[in-house]
Amino acid sequence: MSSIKIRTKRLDGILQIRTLITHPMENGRSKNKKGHPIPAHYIQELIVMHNGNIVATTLMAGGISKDPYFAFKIKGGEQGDKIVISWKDNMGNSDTAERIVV
Amino acid sequence: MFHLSRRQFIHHSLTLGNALLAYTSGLLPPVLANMVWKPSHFAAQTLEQAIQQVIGDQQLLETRKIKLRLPQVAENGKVVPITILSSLKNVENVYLFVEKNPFPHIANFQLAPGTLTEITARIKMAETCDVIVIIKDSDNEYYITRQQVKVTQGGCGG
Repeated sequence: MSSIKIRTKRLDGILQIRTLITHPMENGRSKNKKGHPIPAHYIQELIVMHNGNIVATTLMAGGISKDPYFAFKIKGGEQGDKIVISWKDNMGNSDTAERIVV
Repeated sequence: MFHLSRRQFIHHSLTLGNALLAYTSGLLPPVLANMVWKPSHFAAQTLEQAIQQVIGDQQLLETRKIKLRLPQVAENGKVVPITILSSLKNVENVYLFVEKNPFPHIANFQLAPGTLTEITARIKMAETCDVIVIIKDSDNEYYITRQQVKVTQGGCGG
C-alpha cells in the first residue's frame, strides 16, 4: 500500500491538495525504550505535481511531525486533472502516488 | 484480458524504469534542479545562523502581509499545526523556522507561479518560542513575520 494519501477538492477556481504520508520522521536525537538512539530517518524532499508540472517542492528535515500532513492550493484545477505526489528520504527510500481530481 | 505483447510489456517496463531512475538520480523534473536537498540547509543550530544561510547579506523587511495560523498554546510539541497565508505577490520561496528548536530551519517551500501562498503543515516544537516565516519574492526581497506559541510538552525528543 502506498505511504501517500492524496485528497483534492475543487473550490471556486482553486484546487486544494492535501496529503498525508506515513513516515517516522525521526530526527536522530530520540532514544528507544532501551535507551539506544534511534537513527535519523526523515523525508527530505516532497514534490507536488499537477498535470505534469511541479506546483510545489518542499525541502525538510526532522522538524516536520511524524506522518507528515501538507496542504497546498493552486489556481485552476479541473475534473480529470492528475495530481502526483512523491517523496524521498535520507535513507534513499522514495514513494509516489497519484490521484485524479473529481 | 491482458493485451500487451511481450515486446510492449518490456518497453513499458523500461520506460517506467527510466522514469524512476531519472527521478531518483535528480534528472527530472527541471524545477528540481535548483532545489536540491543539502545537509547544510538544515544543519544550523541557531536561528541567526539558519536565517543567515537563507538570506545571505540581504535585508529582511517586516511585514503584515504574512499571516500565521498557529495555536496560542500547543499541548503537544510533537504536532503543532501551522498555516502560512500571504497576500504578497510573486512568492517564490517560503522558509519556516522554529526559534528554539535544536535545528531551527524546518522547511523550505518552493512555489510555482500558480500556487497560492496558503500552506498547511505540522511541525515539531521543542519549547515555547517564536515561529518565524520568511518569504522571498521574485524580486529577491525577503519578508519576515513571527508569532509565539506556548508549548506545554516539548516534541523534539532526546
